Amino acid sequence: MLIDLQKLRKNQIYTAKATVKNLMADLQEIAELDRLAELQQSKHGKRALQYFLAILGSFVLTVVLSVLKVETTVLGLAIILLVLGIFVLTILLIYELFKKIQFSKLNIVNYRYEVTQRVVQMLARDIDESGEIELNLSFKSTVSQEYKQTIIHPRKPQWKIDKYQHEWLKLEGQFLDKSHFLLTATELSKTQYGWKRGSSGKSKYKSKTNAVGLDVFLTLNYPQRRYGAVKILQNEVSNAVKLPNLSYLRGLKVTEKAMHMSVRMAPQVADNSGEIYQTITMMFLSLYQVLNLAKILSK
Amino acid sequence: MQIQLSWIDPNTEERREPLLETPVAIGRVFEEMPQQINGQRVSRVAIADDLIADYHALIDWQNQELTITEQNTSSDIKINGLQVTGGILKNGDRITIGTCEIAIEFTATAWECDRMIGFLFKRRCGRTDRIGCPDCNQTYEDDYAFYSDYGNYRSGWGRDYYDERDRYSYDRETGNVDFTEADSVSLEDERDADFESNMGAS
Ligand SMILES: [Zn+2]
Repeated sequence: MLIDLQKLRKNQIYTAKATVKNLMADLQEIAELDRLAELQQSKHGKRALQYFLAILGSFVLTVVLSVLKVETTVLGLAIILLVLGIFVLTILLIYELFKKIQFSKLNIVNYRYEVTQRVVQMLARDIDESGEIELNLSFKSTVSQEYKQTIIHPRKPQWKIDKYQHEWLKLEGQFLDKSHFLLTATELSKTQYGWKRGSSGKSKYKSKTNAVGLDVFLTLNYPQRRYGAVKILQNEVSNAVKLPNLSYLRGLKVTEKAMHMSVRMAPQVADNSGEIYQTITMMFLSLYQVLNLAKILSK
Repeated sequence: MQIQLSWIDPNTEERREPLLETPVAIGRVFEEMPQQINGQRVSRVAIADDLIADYHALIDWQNQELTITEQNTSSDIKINGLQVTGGILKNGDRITIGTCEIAIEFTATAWECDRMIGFLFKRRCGRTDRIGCPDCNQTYEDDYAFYSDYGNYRSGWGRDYYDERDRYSYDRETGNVDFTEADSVSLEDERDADFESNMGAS
């Protein structure tokens, strides 16, 4: 599997079905491209600032020279040159800003590939070298048209709510014990808006956006022959769950063949790669803890 | 086979130490370097330095030896300070490309890591390069720390089930789990008897 750069830049989505080794190489490449874009972005940003300061300096100098009472040809020439200089510098400034914007488009959000790299590495310990993982990784912004769903506000008349749901990570594969995993991360955000009547009687348009957090779902389909005793642990599975402070368990369902787990992460850590990684790792370890005990009892 | 490169980035002055799968291409422009050579995936290293060609050099194995070859007649390569167009690299060699001095580390001996890894399914690590292994060790320990007492059923979650583990029997045909009550009663009697005899002795 090789990355199609053009496609990644255009769609902002990376999809692959590949071995851990190739997946890691691809993710490393994405990280490298992003690093280069960040480097270029800051380089052009710095230059743009320098040009801006030069323009400011030239402008001040022009004004100072203009207000001087003495009139000589040299002075007049200097002013003309300065004005010309400002003109050229402005063009250069626009060019650098343009370049900066161009590279900022290539500069993708770091936490998403960082988390994915670490999670794949963590899962790789239980995956066969030749086993393939399916990955869908989106770098798009959650607040965009395609993830929007508009509903009527439940309490305020004439108000609406735009709900955004963006599943930016989907990871699927099989472990060495034939358990199948499916992990998704969905970022949530909502915007409420409508007209509000003030005390003066005038109506004002108001809009408020709230990040809701990150929903992480994990499904483990386990082979019954190996872990059949899971069902006797059914009622106590939730006690085996350990999560970081800002993440909480929203749902846990255990059936004959699978365990489904749903965790919500607080909005303040929803884009923190360390916290997301910790939550995902603890979700896996919690369910592994159940499976490992089930295996002992299934002998 | 993995090799470790380390150098100081000329722009940011930060140390970079990527662990890379060979072949490794080094150049200034990412897109100018090949993604694949002979069906093998290439690790591309882009260094923003004016003295480095768009696609400057390639590091790869040839006849069990790690070699470096220039990809552009104007590219300059130095191995341990000596100007070359290519050559064999030994562990610890330093190559100079543009203004960058890159140290190379690798191990060619056949060695396998015998550490047990896996959270769900324990197995030998089996990695053949020494460089890759410390990395796996370190993060492994860190991940365990997220779930204190992971794998321990003696005192933590599931203790009761674990203590009575011998009394569960799982029928692979029907999928039923049975708990042998008879045994449990007899064990309880035994405990009571012990207790009584102890009382008597004292
Ligand atoms: Zn190892």
